[in-house]
Amino acid sequence: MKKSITFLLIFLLCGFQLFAQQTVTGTITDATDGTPLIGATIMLRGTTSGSITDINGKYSLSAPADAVLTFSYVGFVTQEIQVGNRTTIDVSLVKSTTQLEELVVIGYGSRQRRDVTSAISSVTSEDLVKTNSMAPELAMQGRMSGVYVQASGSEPYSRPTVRVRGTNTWGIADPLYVIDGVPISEYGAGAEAIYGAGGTSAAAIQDLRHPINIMSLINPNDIESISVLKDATAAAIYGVRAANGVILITTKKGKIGKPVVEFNFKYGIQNIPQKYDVLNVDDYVDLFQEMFANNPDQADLLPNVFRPDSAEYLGDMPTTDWQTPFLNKNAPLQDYNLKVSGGTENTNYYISVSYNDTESPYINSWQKRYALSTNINTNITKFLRTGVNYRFVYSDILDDSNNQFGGGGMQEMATQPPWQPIYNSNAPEYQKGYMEAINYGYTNYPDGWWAERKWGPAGGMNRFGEMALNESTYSLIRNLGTAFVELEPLQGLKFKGTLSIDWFYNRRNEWSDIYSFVFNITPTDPLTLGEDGVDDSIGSYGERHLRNTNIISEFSASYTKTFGDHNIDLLFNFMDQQFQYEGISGSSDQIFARTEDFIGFGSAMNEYTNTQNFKDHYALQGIMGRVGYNYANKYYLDATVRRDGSSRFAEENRWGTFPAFSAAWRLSAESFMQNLTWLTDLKIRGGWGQLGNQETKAFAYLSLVSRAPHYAFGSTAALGDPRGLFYYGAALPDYPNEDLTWEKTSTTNIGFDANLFTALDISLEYYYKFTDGILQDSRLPGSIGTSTPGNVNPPPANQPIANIAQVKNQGIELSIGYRGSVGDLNYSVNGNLTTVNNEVVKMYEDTPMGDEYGRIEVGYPVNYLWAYKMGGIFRDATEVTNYQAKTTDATVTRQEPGDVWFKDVNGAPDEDHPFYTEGADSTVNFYDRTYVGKTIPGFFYGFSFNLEFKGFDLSAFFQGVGDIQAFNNGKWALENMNNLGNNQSTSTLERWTPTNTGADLPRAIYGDPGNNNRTSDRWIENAGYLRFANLQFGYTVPTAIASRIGVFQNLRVWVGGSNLFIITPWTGLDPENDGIPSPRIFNLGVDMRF
Amino acid sequence: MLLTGLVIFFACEDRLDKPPLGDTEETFFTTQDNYESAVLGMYAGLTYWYWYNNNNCIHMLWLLPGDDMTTKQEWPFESFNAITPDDYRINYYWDMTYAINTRANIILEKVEQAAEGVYLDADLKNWHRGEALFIRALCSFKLFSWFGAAPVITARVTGLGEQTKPPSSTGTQLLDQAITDLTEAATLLPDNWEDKYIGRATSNAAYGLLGKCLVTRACYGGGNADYSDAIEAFNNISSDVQLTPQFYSNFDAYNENNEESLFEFQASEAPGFDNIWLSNDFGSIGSMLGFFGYFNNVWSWWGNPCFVPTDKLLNAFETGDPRIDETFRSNADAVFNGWEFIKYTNHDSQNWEGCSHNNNRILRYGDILLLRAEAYLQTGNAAAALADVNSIRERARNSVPEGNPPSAVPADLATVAMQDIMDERLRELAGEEERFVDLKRWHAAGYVNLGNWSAADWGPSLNASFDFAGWFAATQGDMMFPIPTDEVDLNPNITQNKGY
Repeated sequence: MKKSITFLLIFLLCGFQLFAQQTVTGTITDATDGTPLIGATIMLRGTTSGSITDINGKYSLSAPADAVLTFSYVGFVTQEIQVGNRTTIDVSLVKSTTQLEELVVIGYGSRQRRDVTSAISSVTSEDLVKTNSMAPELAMQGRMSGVYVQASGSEPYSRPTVRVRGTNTWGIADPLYVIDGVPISEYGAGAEAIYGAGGTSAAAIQDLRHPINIMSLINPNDIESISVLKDATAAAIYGVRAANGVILITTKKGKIGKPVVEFNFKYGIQNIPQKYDVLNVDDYVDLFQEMFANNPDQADLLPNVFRPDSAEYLGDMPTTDWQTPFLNKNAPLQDYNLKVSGGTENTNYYISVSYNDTESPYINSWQKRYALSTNINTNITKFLRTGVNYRFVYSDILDDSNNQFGGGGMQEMATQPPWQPIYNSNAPEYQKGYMEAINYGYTNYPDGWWAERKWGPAGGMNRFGEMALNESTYSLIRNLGTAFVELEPLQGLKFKGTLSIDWFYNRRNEWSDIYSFVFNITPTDPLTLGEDGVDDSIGSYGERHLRNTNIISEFSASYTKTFGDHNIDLLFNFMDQQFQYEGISGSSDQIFARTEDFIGFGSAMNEYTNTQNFKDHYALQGIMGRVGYNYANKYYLDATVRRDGSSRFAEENRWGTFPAFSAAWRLSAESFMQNLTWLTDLKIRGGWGQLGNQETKAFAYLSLVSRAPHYAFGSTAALGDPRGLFYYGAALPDYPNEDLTWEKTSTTNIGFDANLFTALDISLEYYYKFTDGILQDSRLPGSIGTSTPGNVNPPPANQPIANIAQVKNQGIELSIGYRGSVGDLNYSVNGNLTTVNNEVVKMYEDTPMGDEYGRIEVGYPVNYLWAYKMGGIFRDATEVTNYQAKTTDATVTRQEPGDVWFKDVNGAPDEDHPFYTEGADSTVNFYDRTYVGKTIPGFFYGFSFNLEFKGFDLSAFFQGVGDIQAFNNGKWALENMNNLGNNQSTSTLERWTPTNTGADLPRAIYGDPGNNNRTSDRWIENAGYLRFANLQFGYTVPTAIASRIGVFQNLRVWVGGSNLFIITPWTGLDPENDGIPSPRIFNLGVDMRF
Repeated sequence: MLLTGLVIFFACEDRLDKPPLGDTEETFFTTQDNYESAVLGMYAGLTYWYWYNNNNCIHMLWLLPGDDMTTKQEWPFESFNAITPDDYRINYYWDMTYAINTRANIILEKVEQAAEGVYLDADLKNWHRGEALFIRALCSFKLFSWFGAAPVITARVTGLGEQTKPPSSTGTQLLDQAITDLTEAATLLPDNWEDKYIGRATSNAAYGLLGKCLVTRACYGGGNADYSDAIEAFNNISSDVQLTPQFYSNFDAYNENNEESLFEFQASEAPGFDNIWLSNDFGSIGSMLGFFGYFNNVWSWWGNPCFVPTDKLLNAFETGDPRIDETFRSNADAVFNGWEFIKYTNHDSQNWEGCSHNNNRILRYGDILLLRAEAYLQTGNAAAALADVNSIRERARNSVPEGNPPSAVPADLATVAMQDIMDERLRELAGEEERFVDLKRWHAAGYVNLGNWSAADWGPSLNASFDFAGWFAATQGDMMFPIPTDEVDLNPNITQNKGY
């Protein structure tokens, strides 16, 4: 019973000291104007006991004579006063100009920034409310060092990518989210999305999760602060799954005082500022004629739609702009929040309700969110406390424009043949005015269904028609609750039991009208869907219901004590997490009636009804002990040891132990530093620690039987059915690996926090993270027979997983803040910068893996871009001859003037170089694919300016990333001049021709015999950018006037904008996400307090 | 709640014991039905070769290199220009063939380990072993035919390290293994299966493939002994196996597993919904269908140029040979370049996505008779060879629509030479999986010299960049596909084929 011994130790460490107690009372006021501070905190230093001021700023508590009282209030400089024999202590606090006094949530408690020894970034509600996103993640973008946030687009429910200090692994590198102490587990966010689980394939699981960001079910207005625990020492307290960093979200609580009612309103309009410039019909036809004419072998394959002498010629159609109608111009967003909070000495409460309605800047997508939350904490007796924190969110989503129908966003619209119309005023009524994409009919009714594209070989789906007829909606419900009981038998000694439940429900309803086939270029014969007959089907309908249940039980014991200058705090914690996922889906192709409220899967039509269920489960346990010690706020030491168990591993490898230490030294407190008056504060800190990552295929230590393969026998002339008889088979996709265990990340930090002239905060640190035992697919040669089919090259393999690889990340993090004032003008400037140097150190047999868009190789960053290097364009025949005299390109069928030539950089492997040799070998072949860019940014930064003058305030925020490259998919789609019938960019007008040999673009040639369009750096661009992310200008009506015109205590009105401009060399729509670019937003709002 | 915390705190760690949500290898192989499922799963692997594969079907690997089929599209397998070891289809063919091989090895291992009493039907245990040996031999034969030197893997690998780096085979090792496996399989397998299981491997299939492997090995240096053994194997095929009266029955979706059939890919369609984009390993909607859209330009071929007969094939038939009407027809559409190959599509059953229920005939008696003729001729029994060739020609001229009198052509041959057999194989087996494999082994045996062949001998090819001579020279006459890059990268004991 090792655990109970630890437990006893904690008891023994508790000192029993008794002092004479006396009652101390007083008032706390703001030094600038003498107004009472409500809810200021008075603590006995080194303990957790204390009191807070009432609505008159008065307090009362009992304290021994030798106690030191700490008086603090957010935004003010903390004061410490020895009680002595005084019974009245009045204090006036001075407004703080530094960040040292900020309270930072560190997990199971908070500390002042000055006392933090580990790497933690935080953002407060002030910044949070400025974000226009429904998702709180975007509030972190650019505001914290070490935290990289990549927006995934403009849909209100889309899910950003977050990476803390680089990318640890090519498995799951997402950080852990903890909301008010509840670690969030979402099915599909873990390894199951890579490997599949419980008989459900990875693709199916990704589809189940797609596309909803469950964090959008937290109302950013309810958030008090977000802390990101970046290093092992900080994150160790949430060790299970914390190796990729921990994002702690703390929500608001009531403060002592009479009830405060707040109302916030925000309204904005969103627009996508850019479109692709594409060819009109004339230029489009010219391009395709030239493209085919350039290839004599295939010239006769020029489709008739491009031949002016053909009856099928479409070149005399008018040009249709497909992009503009796809945009939801001035898409509105609205946000309403009403909060009531308050408290007495013994009880505080916070209640909020909110409604948010955000439309996507693309048509036919929106999210509406209704949220309510309550937080009540009460002291039952002096030594017994309890509290409950509960939030309920309901959200409705319409997801038509992009996700559900597999749309390709603006790129798909841009590549649509310009002659294909969107609307058809003569269409049958069921087409709702939209143009069909196909011609169809029956050669021998009712058999012999045929369908062909109406608008040429690249005629696309008419998504507008599909969206008008079909619908895909989601309803989401989230219940997230925590309740605790805390017992404090002795001053400073606490036992706390917590039970938390996160229950998340996701329902998808899909409706597909039977006539939507006319907008589809790969349609289904409507007769097979029951269009013809007595009981005509009018469409298909499906529902899917998914449930995520996450139950966390925790027990913790903590003890805080001060002996003279020695301050210790101890924490012991045990956590048990049980995760359960289940779901069911059903659909039918035979629906007879559609009314909003009643659609059934008609029981008579069982043969057309499909159902499926999904389930998975796992469990985690963790035991953690933390010791914190500081001597006179000068020397600090924190140590954490945790032991984690996961059901993912075999019994003998289930548990991992992860230690972490950090220390700090406040140099400025030393006597030899005292005469440096400009140096307000200087602290050096460092730490080392280890954390685990368990994200691997569920039950990879067992060999699971797949019941998926199926086959038929018995097909004979006598049976008369060529399909034969269906049978289910079984297969073993891989083999058991019982040695599988935790992936471990070690972090080392060293840095300092300084404050100069009480106005300038500087924090600089170096970090080094090393991940060992990465759970890697061992990637066996194909001959071992563990491959499965797929449509990428090489086929993804169902390879055994083992703890094999290593990755390191290192860099620096710098943040600087300055606050000052000139007369009535207060201003502040803040900035942060993070660098990331990512490198793969070791892999299974050091064999490179991955494809052109994400290659993993020792010595390179994870997922680097791996492609051919374009040398230039053959300007004339001589250049071709000269090139071919030296170099053979093994990947081309022929090269002619106007084609691209590629560089010969590598050669075939030899004895010492098993994968390739460096240096030219006169052959351009697949060995010449090489490093052409990286997908992990080398640095990212943010900076902001804030001004306050009398009642006016102005804030501006910029954010950017650099040293990052990306494959420009839009450029490829719009400049390849080979995709049959896809419209192309106007940049292709400047293509190489015999009369324009100096062109930047190669010639247009169908079939691409010169392999011009291979994946090469021709398509790779610098994806760095600087974005003017936010601007807000506000006016706070003076209290005197505000209270005269109503019941307002405070009234602020503001106008602002987001994503106002972007500076980037990227030629696409948005370097963060071309498919769904970030919208430009203009908004205004009112904040009222009563 | 405090209590809850304490209770959990002192609770056992068995809250971490989460049972897997499905069968595990440990618990699975306990009933005869489980074994039966695993064997079915092995056959399901054949879908890897023949399905649509997300518009990446690999049939062109065996259809385009021969002198019977061509296309305007510049596929490397047609032009012999720029066949590279990182080619997706070559990688896929290799990986999937070995995946099927591994399924067979797992069956062999599990059948061996079956506990007493698991098999209620004593015969079934032998049949399962025979089926696995047959499938493994089929994989070996294909690997030998297309890659030449590839590892012989006869046991399941369950760990990392050296065992994951098997060496390349040398000489005819792959064929040797296939011959060993088939010799045993033939004695284990039943002559036929009950109706609901028709399509599973039989002793006739094993004898047929055994003979085919022996004839192949004879060409690669095995000589007369292999020819004689081949004749013996062919003669062990039961007399129930015969030519169908009609040539086209062998490509008719509604006449599958007929009397001429020895082994077929059982194309089917997942009930409810067959998703042609998802592999057979994708739950109950993974595709079970085959694909012939490259012949008849169904929409899912996306308007690419079709695979069409070469001039050589068009001219190979005597005028009036009824097989012509079941092999190709004229079609003015540009993608067909004038001629449409209709062998598998003329009596097809397709689903709406253009994928097919029609079985690919992997081994049929028509092929066997011509192989036997070759073996007879090479061992000096010209009369028997002549009889076999003429039986093919006789069936051909009887293959006229019902009510019509038999055609006069092709008439019986009076004498038979190797060239006659080669020509007959072109006419009879065009567009099946045979032609390039035949050409290569005949080259090895010296019956033809492909080194002297030019584009004209190919039909000629429609491909402007056609470069067989270059490829032939580069591979030093081996004419093998490259070993995939991945295999070479990951397995240091692999020797890359000549020319790559």
